[in-house]
Amino acid sequence: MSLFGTLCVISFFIVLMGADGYSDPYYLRFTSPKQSSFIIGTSKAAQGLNPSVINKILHKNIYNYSFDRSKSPFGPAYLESIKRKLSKEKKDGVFIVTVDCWSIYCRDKDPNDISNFGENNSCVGEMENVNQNPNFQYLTQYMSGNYYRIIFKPSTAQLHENGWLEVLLDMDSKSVARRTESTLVEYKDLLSLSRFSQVRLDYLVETVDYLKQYGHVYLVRLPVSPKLMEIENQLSPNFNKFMQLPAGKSSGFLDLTSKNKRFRYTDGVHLSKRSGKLVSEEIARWIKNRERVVDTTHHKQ
Amino acid sequence: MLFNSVSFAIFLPIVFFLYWFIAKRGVRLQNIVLLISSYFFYACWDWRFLFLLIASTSLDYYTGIKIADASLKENKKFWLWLSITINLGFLGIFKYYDFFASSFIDALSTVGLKADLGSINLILPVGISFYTFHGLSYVIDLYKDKIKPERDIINYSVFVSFFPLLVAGPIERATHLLPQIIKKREFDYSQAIDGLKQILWGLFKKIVIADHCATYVNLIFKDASDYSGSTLVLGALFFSFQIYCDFSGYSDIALGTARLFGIELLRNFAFPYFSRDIAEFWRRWHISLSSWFRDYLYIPLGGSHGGKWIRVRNMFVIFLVSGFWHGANWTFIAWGALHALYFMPLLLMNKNRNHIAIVAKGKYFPTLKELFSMLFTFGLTVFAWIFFRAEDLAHAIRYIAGIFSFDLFLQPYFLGIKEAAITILFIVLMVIIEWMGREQEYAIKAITSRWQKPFQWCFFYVIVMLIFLFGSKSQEFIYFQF
Repeated sequence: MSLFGTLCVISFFIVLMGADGYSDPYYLRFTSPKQSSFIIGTSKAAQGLNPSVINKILHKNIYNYSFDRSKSPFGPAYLESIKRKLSKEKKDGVFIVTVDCWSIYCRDKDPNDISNFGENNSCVGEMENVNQNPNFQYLTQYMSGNYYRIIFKPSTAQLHENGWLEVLLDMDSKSVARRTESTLVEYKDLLSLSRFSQVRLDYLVETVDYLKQYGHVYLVRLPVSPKLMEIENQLSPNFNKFMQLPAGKSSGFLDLTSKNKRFRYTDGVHLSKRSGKLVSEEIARWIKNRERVVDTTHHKQ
Repeated sequence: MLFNSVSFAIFLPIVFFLYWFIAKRGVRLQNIVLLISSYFFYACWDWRFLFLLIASTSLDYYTGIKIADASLKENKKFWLWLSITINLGFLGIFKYYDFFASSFIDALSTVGLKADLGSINLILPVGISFYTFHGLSYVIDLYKDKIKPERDIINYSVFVSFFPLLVAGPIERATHLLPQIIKKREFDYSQAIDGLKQILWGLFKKIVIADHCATYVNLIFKDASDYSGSTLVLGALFFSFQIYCDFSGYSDIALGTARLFGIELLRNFAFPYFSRDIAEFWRRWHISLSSWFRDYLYIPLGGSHGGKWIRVRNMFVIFLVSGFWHGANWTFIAWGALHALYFMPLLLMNKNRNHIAIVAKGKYFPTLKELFSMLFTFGLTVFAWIFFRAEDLAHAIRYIAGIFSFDLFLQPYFLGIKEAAITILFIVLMVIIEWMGREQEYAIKAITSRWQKPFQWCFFYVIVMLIFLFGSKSQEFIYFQF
């Protein structure tokens, strides 16, 4: 009986040790070592921004440490997690902080009550060790779905070593329309429930301030489908005004929503693989230009 | 604390250790350990309702002694009705007040009158329907002189609160459980192994089948109008297996856990989907509730004595009450009524006891006639489950209308249908194993014991790994809400 129990326990651990980027959309983010350059934000950034494209242009080693709307809006939980993931040895990092209204708005009764923020109870809020491989704490407490995914590796999404979440979805017009329709319904529901959170905006500013100590921080507003843009404008017509303070503290603010129509989206919110590559390139080139401007300013001074 | 949770996996060995190693000296210590652990188990749900459980237990304990000690029939009757009234009063307030208030307001509004009774929106104390029925059976049996009163409050409290059966049954009888509680239990290795096997099978049904079916059922029932008739049929089939594997899985875990403590609980399921008619289905589904209603409602109403129409009336009463017991919603009443309608022809033709023996006993396969009867009965139950699962009657009717549409013969489709194929595979596996073990108390009891040891262990290993690989975050058992 005890032999049988031991065999079962050993088998569990062997299975768990096989977890990879196919097993769960976040797991590898908690197994990679500390990083000195980040992309941070929600699922738009997680799926849209491909670090390998950016790294090629900037010659950096940027890591995508974005999660999703429920886990990584700006707030104390996400900031603490970023601090745990950040390697503090270098001071020349590049930090792409993606912003949208959903990460500074809240669905809670009191949008400024930190103790009630939903992400506090998520892997982002609770994981103490975010740089451990294998990470059994994550696998036993937070892994989404079933462990059979570790063995059978479903082919719907793959989290790459650099933190990019590659989503493998049908991009035929019918599938896209169906997904877009259901996403828009979800966001319309969110619209009526969400309220501006001054605390979240303050934490965005604090995040920028904190990361500035370790390199250059760039704020980016990613493109979304025109229909979602309408919803975002209804929710936060003055969003770019809110961004004035954090943008002023950063090395630059790039708003890509004026180019919304140029890109394709898997569901109205997330960029398609191809569009994500184009956006990543555009951001990287913009940063390269900004770096030149910043360097020239420094030299002149 | 759910049976399928990590906290229960920690709790159970601790109680097991305390029970067999610390409290082995005497029955009193054993019962104290069981009572404290049962109250702890219950308090983990919501400690405030522990007081309700203790109040209900004390009431039945006290009225039980009063009934037994009363010399006059009138006094016995008084204490009996006091207990029944207060017990059903608790149940009525917590479970049914809002339903009656809103139904009354709706009824008045149909004749143009307005009323505001307000709703009290009380949280339903987990297990209240079950422990109330335990207590009622005890006082009724005392009143009928079927049993002697239990004068030890610890023993009586364990009878009501024994943690494996506390939140979702089986609904025990004092005649069956109390004698086991009074007697000192001796550790029996084979009984404990039997218990572990039954727990394992229950976990497999709950975690590998019911919880996965639940995902698809929720998806399909939520937006029924978006799906084809064939998908809706698949949704109803998934729900049929979800509810069976959820509740019979729970019962297997409860019975297996009780065995670990040397206690045998009443059997609750006997492979109901292998029934050849609805009467047989009801002898095999939620047996402890069906027999409770039979003994404490159907027989006092006259049972099968009297004229044909009296029997039909009694049968309808039983099914409607049984439906209503499940919850304060017209959907449950409709579900009960539908089963009454299914049952009626059998009753009128005196064919309700045609299938007492196990189907195809001693054979590998059923005859064609048996197979057809089983499939037909299963089809009837699947149809009735639609009412049971629906949010309200309008939802159920929309769902059924959706089934009988032109796209009934299209290939079913919903998001995640590829993953659902694995669940279907496990359902088929479960049905085969249950068929092979249908002559036993639970499916894998005899199958494994006939095999050689290495094969037995391999089988258990596969089941454990499937539970591990396919288990997600522990989900509540459906019958906890009743």
